[in-house]
Amino acid sequence: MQTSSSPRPSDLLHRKDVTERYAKFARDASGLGSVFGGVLLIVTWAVGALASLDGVVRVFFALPPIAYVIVNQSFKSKYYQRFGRVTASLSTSQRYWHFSYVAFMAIVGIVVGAAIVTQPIAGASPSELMQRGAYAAFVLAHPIVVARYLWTAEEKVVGTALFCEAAVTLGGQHYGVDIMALVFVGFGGAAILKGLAQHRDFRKLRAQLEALQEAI
Amino acid sequence: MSDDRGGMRGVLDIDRLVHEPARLLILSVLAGAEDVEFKFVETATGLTKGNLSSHATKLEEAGYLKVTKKFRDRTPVTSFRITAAGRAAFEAYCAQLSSALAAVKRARK
Repeated sequence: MQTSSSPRPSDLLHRKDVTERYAKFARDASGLGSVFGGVLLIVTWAVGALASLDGVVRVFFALPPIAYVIVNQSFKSKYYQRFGRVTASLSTSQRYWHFSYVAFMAIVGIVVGAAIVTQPIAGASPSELMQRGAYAAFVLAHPIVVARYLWTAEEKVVGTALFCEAAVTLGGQHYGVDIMALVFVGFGGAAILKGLAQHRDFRKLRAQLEALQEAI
Repeated sequence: MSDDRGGMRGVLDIDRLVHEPARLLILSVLAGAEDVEFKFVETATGLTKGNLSSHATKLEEAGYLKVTKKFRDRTPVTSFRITAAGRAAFEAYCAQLSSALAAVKRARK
């Protein structure tokens, strides 16, 4: 197309605003990924707390955190960035908050991992050693996954809870119907609500982008 | 009155490179983010691929944007990034235009 007249200042600011809001979906908003994570959080807690878990079933608890990261990233790159990838720079506070959280989780991971590794091996059954190994693997992998993929507050909460659930269940325990129920259901519900609100915002944004294309 | 003259005089100082409508649209989109793919700029501005390429080249030559070309899944992807000079030029243009429009409105009263 060939533009013939100068755009008005309000048109320019509108395009800038649309780009800023769209860029958030590359990293700072998860939309349906958050909804998926919230549902996963509630379901894994319910299965862990209410069902009887034998050895084989416990192995399946390794899947939710992996599935969450993959599905969340897929929504971001394939659905919410469907008009082309747009990224915004990280603010100083975002950088500080993300680094602090990763550092804290890394310290926790190292302390817990060291406690498991230094436990005596003699007398432990092979299945017990496998449980310890699986627990340590999830605890140590968690900060790496957070650093790379979990940027928003809801991603950090949902991702961390799913990693904890996986580590604890693979380690032979499970969260019960106690304060953890409030944590999992509360955070899961909040992630679902926030994700739905973000998805609604994206649908409005998509309509505005399509209108921009047609307007010219 | 002297304010109005100042506002109108600002029009003469407007950056002609930025003033071109297509380039103005490109800069307005790039000003909203750090790194923007070609496909998004095409969507948000409504420019054709050829038009967008030629205007982006002019802005790149002026030092207002940086072009990055890379491959993703064996597909070439072009991205734009507004430079500090480009952002300053865009913001100065918006300020000049707003003050000129305000001067016109005052003159009409």
